[in-house]
Amino acid sequence: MAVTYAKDREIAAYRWGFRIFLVSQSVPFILIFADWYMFDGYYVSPVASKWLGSIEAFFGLLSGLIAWQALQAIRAGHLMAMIQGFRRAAVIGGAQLVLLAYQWGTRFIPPGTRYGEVYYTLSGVSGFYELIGIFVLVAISFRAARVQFTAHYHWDAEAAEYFWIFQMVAGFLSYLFLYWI
Amino acid sequence: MEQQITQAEARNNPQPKVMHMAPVLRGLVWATIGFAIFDLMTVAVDPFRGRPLVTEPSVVVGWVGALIGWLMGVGGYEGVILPLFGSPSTWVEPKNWRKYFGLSTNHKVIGLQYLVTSSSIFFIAGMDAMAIRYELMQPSMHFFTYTGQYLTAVGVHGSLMMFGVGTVVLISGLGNYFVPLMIGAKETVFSRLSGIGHWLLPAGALTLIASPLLGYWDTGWRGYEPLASQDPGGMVFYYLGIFAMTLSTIIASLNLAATIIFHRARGMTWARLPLFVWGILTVSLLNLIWQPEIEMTFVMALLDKLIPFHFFDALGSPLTYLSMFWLFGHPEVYIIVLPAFALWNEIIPVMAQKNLFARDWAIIGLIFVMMLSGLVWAHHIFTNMRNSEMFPFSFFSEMISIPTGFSFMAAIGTLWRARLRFTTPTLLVLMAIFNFVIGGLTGVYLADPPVNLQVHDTFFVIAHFHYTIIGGAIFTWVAAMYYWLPKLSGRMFNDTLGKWLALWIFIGFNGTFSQMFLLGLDGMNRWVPAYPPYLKPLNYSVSLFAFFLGAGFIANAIHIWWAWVKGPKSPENPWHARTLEWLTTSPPPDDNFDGEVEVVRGFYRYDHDEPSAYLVKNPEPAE
Repeated sequence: MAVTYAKDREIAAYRWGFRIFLVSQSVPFILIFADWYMFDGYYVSPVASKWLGSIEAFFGLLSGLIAWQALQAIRAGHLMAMIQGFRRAAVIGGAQLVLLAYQWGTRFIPPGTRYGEVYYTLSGVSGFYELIGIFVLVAISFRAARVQFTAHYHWDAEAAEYFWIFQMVAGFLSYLFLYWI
Repeated sequence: MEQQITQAEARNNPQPKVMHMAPVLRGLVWATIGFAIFDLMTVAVDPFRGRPLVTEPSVVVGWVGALIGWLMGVGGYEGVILPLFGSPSTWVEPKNWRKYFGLSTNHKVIGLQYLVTSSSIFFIAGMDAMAIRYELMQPSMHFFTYTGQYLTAVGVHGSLMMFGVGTVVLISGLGNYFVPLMIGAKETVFSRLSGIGHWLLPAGALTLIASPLLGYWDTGWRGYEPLASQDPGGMVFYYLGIFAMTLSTIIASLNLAATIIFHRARGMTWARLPLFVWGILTVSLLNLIWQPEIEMTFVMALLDKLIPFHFFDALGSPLTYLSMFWLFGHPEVYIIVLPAFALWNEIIPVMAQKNLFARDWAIIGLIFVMMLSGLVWAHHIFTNMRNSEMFPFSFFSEMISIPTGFSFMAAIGTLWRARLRFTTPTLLVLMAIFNFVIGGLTGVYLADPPVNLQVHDTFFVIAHFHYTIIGGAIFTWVAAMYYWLPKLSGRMFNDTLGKWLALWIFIGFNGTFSQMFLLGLDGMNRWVPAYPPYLKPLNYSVSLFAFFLGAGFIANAIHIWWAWVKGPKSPENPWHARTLEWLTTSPPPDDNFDGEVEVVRGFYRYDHDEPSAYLVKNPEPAE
């Protein structure tokens, strides 16, 4: 039991540290939101495609939901369901990035405007975190297969899930700011 | 249950990696390859007229490649990437001196890596300062050929000192080494991450040092806009270098904060936590808020240069940049000095063998300085503000002197009627307190708009912040090095020589910077390599004292190095201190304590002879 207590304590430390790290990583988003207000008070350009933005946001929420289900699966001891769930979430996240790349490529939103500058910066930062998240999901899905996570020990999967949910929330808030607020 | 845990932890490889090249060398080779690949790919996709092999965008992407190659090369590939994908780690940490030249998970090795790297940066940035002072010995330019060279030297000096020394030595350096020891921990929470974090520091510093290769930049350590957006490519390496160094600080802070909260020994309650640990905890929280803030601000400024966007340039809002910079910039000052305040009250009770006066208020002071530090930033930009906007920032800037005063109160209260042992660390702490009083009082002047507007951008300001940073934090760093030298090395320095060397830097420091107050009041501007001839005598004198100071720091470094290697053997607890780091051998073993630590009372009471903690030794292995 002593070993288990030590491990639980270690996991609690990882969990707290990782949550604080994610709180720390919310600062860049807060900074852009604040800067945008100081630049031009959350002006939303009429050329922004709310449809495409909404589909992107939907993909983000969907992948977040799938990743959450994957974590529930490993909590119930279903390793393969977790691995498949993480990979599905990564693929849907990838589709979201492809849509973003399409929006960037078409230049519907001119980069030379103030809204355009904020749009490309905020969506770029959001996309960067998503790219990191995809890497983490894929890496952990490989790791899970080799290291054999269990219902009692799956901190790595939990961390990947935390990060994925963090980027999903940050991305969704960015979507609200970019298209609606 | 335990069986399952064991299964999930199958990480160690029975076949250790045989390294054919030192990790640092391999890192350099991989960094070069990474830079070449990423840079050439970028210029292939995004060619510029004339098809140069290095452009501003390509150098940024190339730098990312170089950083990845560097971190992989120093051990990140075997130590981080392989385990991340579930393969067993093949990284084996050497047991001899080679452990300092690659990825380590031992907090003491990491702490020493930080201290050595940061000392090297201090030396380089110090030589830079000597060049600046040599230039200013004459009213006209005689050493640097172009003004851009001088201003780049000023910028590199300031950036290296702030991000590579001030933010690093007491937190990532001494913090990494001593915080786990002081709380009775055997390891840190994110030890592997912490090991990788160190190697971001030399990468960032080298990037900054290499910045003149891309063109001289004029903005100083503040990266002021709209000047930065018009500057040559050197600005790019300013942003990237600081990005790497601040990332290193974030990692160190995260690791130390989690360790303090979760790895304390039995009985180490919050009410018993040592002062230095409180100092590190408060600045770690500051780092976790403000370092990402400045990183994102620099990313936006970088986009202004590369795309170009117009967030902060003349078409955008330069004032927004100034606000965003100082939102980080002023807490940064407290990030540097809070651990120093804590160290004063760590060392003084030991040297006086007297109860620490008002310990709780000393801690409350640290916490309130932490909280108020984010409310004072705009006093740096009073010249850009309306009178009505200045008032709240002036108010809070003066108010922060009250919790700052708590640290002084605790120190002076402890010194009151004490039989103080007048050792080198004692002397240096007293000098640091004296220096910071001058830096702090002149800060109160600067918080008042009438004075601020008069002396803005003069040498008065330079003198003020050097009194706080060098006078307060660097003097305390030197004091702490002497204080903990017996623990770090098991050896003792020459106390008489140490006192003379302390006096040397005290005279050099005060001779240099007290005269800078006068220079500023006489009208000497910052950011100028040439000045009116009537300012020459004072400038000449300042430079002579500056050279004296620089030599004094080198002499102290040589003395500490000599004592570390050749000094006489030290007793286990030469100062009769009560904190936990003195409960173990010197230098400490790999897992810090040969047994389990149990704390039974606080560390700052000297009115009894009962021990503060017990070490229940591990049983001897059966023969």
